[in-house]
Amino acid sequence: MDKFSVELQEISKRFGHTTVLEGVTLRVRAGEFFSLLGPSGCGKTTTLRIIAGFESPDSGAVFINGIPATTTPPQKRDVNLVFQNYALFPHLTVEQNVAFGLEMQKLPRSVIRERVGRALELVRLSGLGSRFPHQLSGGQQQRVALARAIVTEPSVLLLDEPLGALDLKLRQEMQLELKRLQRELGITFIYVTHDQQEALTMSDRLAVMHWGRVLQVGTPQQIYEHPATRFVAEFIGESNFLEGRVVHMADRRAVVQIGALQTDIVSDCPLQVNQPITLVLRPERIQLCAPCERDRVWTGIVEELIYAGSQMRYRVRVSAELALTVSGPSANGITAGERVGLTWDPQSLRPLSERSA
Amino acid sequence: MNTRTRTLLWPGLVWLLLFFAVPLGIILVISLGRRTPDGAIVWGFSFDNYLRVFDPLYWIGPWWNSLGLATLTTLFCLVLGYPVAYTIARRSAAVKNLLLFLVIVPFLTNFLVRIYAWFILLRPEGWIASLLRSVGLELALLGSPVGVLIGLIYGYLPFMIFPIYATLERLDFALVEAAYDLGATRWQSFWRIIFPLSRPGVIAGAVLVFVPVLGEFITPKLLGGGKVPMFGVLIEEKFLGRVSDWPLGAAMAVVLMGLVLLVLTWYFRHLTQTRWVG
Repeated sequence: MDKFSVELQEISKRFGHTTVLEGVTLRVRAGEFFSLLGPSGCGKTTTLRIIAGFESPDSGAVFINGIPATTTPPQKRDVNLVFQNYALFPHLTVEQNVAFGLEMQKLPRSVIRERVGRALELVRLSGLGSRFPHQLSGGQQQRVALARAIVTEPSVLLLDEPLGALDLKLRQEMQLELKRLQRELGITFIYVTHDQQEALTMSDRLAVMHWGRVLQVGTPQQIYEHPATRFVAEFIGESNFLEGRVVHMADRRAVVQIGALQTDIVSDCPLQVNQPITLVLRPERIQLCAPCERDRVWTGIVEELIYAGSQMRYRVRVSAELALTVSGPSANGITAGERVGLTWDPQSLRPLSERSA
Repeated sequence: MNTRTRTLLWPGLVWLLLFFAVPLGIILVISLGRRTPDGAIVWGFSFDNYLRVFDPLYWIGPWWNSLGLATLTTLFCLVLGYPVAYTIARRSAAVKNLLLFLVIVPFLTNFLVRIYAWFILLRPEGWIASLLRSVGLELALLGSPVGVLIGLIYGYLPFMIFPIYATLERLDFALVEAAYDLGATRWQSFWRIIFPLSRPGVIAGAVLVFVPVLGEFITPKLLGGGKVPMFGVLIEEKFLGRVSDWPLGAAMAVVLMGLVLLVLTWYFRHLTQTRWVG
């Protein structure tokens, strides 16, 4: 059995008349990089604050390192939080900020000095110890916040959209830095973000949240390849949704009727003939070919081309009510108004477990 | 500064010159003079009056009363006002405004009237004195430093509450959460984070209380009944009393002003020396 760093059981939380969390259950394994992903207002920050101990759940239980912690005050939890706006103490120097947690543990001065030095080294801020926070850049402040949180060696580090205030370049740099830090420290990271790209590239596993519920938990690949609901498919990457009805079923292969069109799919779960079904088809899984190509699935008219650097996005109308988004290499000479064939592997079509969410 | 702005400054400058700088000059000149036995002023250039102000034999009482009461008032206002400011700052916007309004309400009544109200409350036959007497405390409130202190604290408490409130209101409460998260108790996070960050407000409040109390006149006059000589009261006596001594009164006024300037200089130096930005 896996050892869990943090376990949430059926957590619910209301603020006044608004339900913020409803039956949230999560198990975060020791040493993993776990992300809570969702749009703003989905409850991810509240979940993090419940783990940190700043909010107490209305119902449900929190376990930290296997020990019940639902009512443990934040001071006594073996978790540290990196705040969204860093929350650095403005009247203390970088060194004093980092030393704060160690001073609260009443460690000897020499030990504090040594560990502060090591933490600053780890976040590559050695030499800036005597500066005040306002004398640092945003990226440097971020590193101070990290050093302050890791210096007390918590078993779990909570990060609340820590890169939200940084520009793109710095963001990408800090993403790598955070991964390196997590590897070197070997502690559990729980990372809150609304940026799906960030969650996919950094996490070992992630939970997608929406309206106070966890919709799906899994590795980035599982979630991207097998989105459980329409919301997950829409939130993570781009998707085409095909609504249809199963017309034929044999083995794991089925034929789905979508309007006047038909396509083959491969399904892991049993389907029934005549059952309504929603299929997800990622734009990059569709190939464009000549309209007369033999293994084409459908044909359509290119309505629109959107240039996006290395990629080109095509809007292809396949029937009066259905247009698909296709992405492909930009230099293939296709122009608007052209008639094209579309082809894909039946395995690329993923049925959603719910019809809509 | 362009000529038009300079022109606009003239009325104000003339006003200040006529009614502030010139009278101040007159006071300075008087303070260097001498008083004849029949109370008239003899112009001169001597520092005798200043030596008299600092003569311990005559002045230990007034010095003690003024500085001591100003210090005590400041301390009590701080201890009483800080929790009030903190409580208000942590409320929602609507409650905040209501509570702040309640702090201001007394100002809608004339100060003199409010001090007279205290006069009635603190009388020996008033309910406060009888309450104290019933528990065995025979305490003269009216005509004693205690009564004056109560009146001063009452009058100046809002001047402490407002600046502290202003700094606490801007305080990011995430900082306190960060302190808790790092293992600080409530007490530790108060002394290590909240109080240091509210220090500009505390100092501003202390200056706003200490400086005017040093020169207070009405409160010690009415509640002290002439038995609590603070500087303000004595200066008034020297100018308007039965045995007037304008040169001595003027010297006292100048010394008091010097003291206030000293406090303000320290305050502004402190402001510019704050190294962090809140």
